[in-house]
Amino acid sequence: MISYAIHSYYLFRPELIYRAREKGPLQRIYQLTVFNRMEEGDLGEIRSRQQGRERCWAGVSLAFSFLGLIYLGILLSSFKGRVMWHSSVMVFIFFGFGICSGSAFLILLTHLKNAFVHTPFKALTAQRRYLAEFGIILKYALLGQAAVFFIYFVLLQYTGIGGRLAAQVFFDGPRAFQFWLFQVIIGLALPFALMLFERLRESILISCVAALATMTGTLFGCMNLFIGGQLLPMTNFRWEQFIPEPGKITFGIVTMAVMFIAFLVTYKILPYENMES
Amino acid sequence: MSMDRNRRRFIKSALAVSGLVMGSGCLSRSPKPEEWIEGGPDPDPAEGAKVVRTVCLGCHSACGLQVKVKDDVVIKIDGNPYHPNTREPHLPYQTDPKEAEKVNGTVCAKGGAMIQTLYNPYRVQHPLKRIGPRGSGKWKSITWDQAYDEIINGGNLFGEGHVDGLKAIRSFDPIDPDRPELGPKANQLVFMPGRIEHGRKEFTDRWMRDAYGTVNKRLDHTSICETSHHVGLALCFHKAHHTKPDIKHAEYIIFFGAAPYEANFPMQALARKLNFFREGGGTMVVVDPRFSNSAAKAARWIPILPGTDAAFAMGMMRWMIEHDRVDSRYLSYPNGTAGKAGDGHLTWSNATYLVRKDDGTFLREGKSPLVLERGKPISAEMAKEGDLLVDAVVNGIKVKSVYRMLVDRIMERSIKEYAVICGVEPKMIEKEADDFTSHGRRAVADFYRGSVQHTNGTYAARTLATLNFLIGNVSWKGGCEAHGGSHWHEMGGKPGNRYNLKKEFHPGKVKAEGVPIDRHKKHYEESADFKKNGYPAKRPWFPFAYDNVYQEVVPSIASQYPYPVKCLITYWNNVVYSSPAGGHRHCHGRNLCPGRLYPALPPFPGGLRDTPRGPYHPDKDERPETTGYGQAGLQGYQDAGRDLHRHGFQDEIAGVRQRRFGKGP
Repeated sequence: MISYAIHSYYLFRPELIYRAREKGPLQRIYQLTVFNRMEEGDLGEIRSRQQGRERCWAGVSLAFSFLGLIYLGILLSSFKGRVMWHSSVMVFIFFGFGICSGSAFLILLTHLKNAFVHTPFKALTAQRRYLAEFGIILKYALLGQAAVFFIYFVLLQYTGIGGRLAAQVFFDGPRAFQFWLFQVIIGLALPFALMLFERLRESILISCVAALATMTGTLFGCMNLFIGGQLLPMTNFRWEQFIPEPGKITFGIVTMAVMFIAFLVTYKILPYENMES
Repeated sequence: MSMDRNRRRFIKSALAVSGLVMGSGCLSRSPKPEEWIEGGPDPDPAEGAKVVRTVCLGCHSACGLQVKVKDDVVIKIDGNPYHPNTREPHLPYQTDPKEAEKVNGTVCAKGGAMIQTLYNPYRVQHPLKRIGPRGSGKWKSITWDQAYDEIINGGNLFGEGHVDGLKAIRSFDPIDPDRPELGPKANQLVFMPGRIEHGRKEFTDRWMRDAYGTVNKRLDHTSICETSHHVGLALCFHKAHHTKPDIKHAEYIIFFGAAPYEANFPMQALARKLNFFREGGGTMVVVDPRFSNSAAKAARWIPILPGTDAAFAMGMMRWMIEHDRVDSRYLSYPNGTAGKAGDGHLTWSNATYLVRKDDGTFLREGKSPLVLERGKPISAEMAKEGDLLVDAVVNGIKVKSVYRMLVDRIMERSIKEYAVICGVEPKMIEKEADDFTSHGRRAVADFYRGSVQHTNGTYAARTLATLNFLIGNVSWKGGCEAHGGSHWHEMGGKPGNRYNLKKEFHPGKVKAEGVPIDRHKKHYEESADFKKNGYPAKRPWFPFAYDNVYQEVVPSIASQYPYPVKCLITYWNNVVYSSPAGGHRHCHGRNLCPGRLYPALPPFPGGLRDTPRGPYHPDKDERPETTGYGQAGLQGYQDAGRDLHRHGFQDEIAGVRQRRFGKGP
């Protein structure tokens, strides 16, 4: 999160520097945000000078995200007593989740941002073309995730009764509805179908639906793993009870929504100007 | 168009070739691993290190170790490749030891982490002596010479009055002339190890019993561990009280109360063998109330209610009897000759022996038990094949065969009733009975502490062992190995042994005699106390105990019954943790614990533990009177400690220890 915050700062820094030079009621605040370090030249020149740092922090953020996913997978797989988690595939599952939800997030956020903030036509066209191509990545990421899950379930079949019980949690056990509807149909099949053809990928609405479906599927995938892993019986063949706490769930969902909206709003309130303009 | 076709053809061919390569890679097993898997492309930090071979004492498995030492510092612990626990198969013994250094066996995580134990700054390396009042937590390091001197010669060691040393305690005058059966005063030294390994047992017996003369020579932990397992098996097998499944050749194994993937011993060897077993299509079933890691890896898990394993086995037996799935051929062999001549069996059973209904003993002719062979009584030693289901009158005496008695007992309950006892579905019992009897003699029922750590443990053990007899797998390839393997002959005297320590090399050997402090294998009715006071005894006696009664030692010392103890030496043992109830109940208050009950209590080896500190209660007024010496390990590794001592770290460690443990004893 820190690296993302730093990246965001460098993303907006050229505009902040530019605004800090212009007289106005917020000039002092802009000057404060850039530590009073002014730069000469127009916005394009400033941006090109700042570009290296911004790209660097983007890379750092991405690297940390991947490491986090790997770490999460390793962490879960080290729980020997939880059969569903105690699998070497866990790393790849979270990696798959990360690539899918990351691609989907980028597509959804950019489209929403473009709807929310004015973007010049030329930039808009370029971005749409870019996002349509990004849909290809999403398509193959979904395929990859499905393949990883397939391998995971095959391995579970060979992990004794514990593995079979773990698979049963998904297939016809207590998480079956969430697995089949939200994770497989909405989270994998639907977005894959929507991203299959170029004409569909180019449609903003369809891209957004696919991205939203992917993110929903990933969310339910995580929940199925985290909750399902604790449902395996410990002393008999009855599933362990998991009593949902609506308050906490609502809080989690609302927090995520607020963060997403806040992220979107920053484009509106911060001195954002599209590079292509 | 043709370009498109070419491209399509290329992609198709590429996919087909890839599929073929991947498929063949998955299907065929590589004859040996690639070089890089074993060696590793990076330089090995242990390259050129001195290799020291020893044995791990992290648990009872005693795996062989190959320890890498550089500049007198242990840098890595691997398995000794010659040792069967560490490799499958282990290196042939004729392999050159230098060549063997290049090959590593495996060790478990605990074994690998022994380096941390070895160099643990909290590890007590020198004798510690209490220097403050009890409960003050004040200890100081003393020299070995001082420790030996004080332990042997005694004196006013703690400013609390005279304490007898081992020299004074070793007297062959009676403890109480009016109760001569208690034995000599030397018995007032009690040696109480917890886990003690083979070799060390014999070594300490040699000193405590044969040299010092105390009958309290090795009151170890087994009675709170698995004595019922030993007793149950000893009642089933001739000269065997421990069995193991022949994992390598078995096709089906059902584990009762045993978790071979994370517990049991030797767990790393068991886990590895079971992996091969499962990989080869073997069926592993785990009967365990808890969904253990082993249960998770099993083909089937039976979540049985605790302590009901015998009922599950009896349910299986009922199904086997009803479906004619018992190896009656094996059971009908009444002696070894018949067994060997019949199927080449190494073992036989007494299933055909006749039991008198009037007194429950074997019907005999002279010393030889009788069986019926085609309805005619004959000595079991002479018969070739006995009748199994006998309920008859022989020579005017009503008799039943052993097998008939078993069948009658099994048939007392239905499978459904057995299932209710176990808290499982009847079909689970039927399924296991079916599978257990579907592999000829290459199936085995194995069990361990989980099944026998109950008040019915001995009988659970007998019942579970009987399952194996019913399919005739005892000492059969792929079955229940009851007579193979052994540990080394510590005292020598066997063919090929160089020395016979039992008979030689012990000048001045004494005979220890008298009543042990826990009164195992002794009758109260034969004591002077009984003649004087009659029933009840002050504390229970254990005439039928298989071995010593660990949990009775501390309460007996606290009660000074049947005699006061002057010195308790513990080893690899934390009585307070392992037998808290007895210790707590009987040493909790000063009323039950008057005076100095343990004038000297030198525990060894290793770290400072709770036992010498007398941590029965945080309130020091309620603690027993204990005196403590801590002693460094007999397990060696003195060098590191010497360095710590030289650098004055010992005092620092003592400070840390005091902060960590709070106010001491």
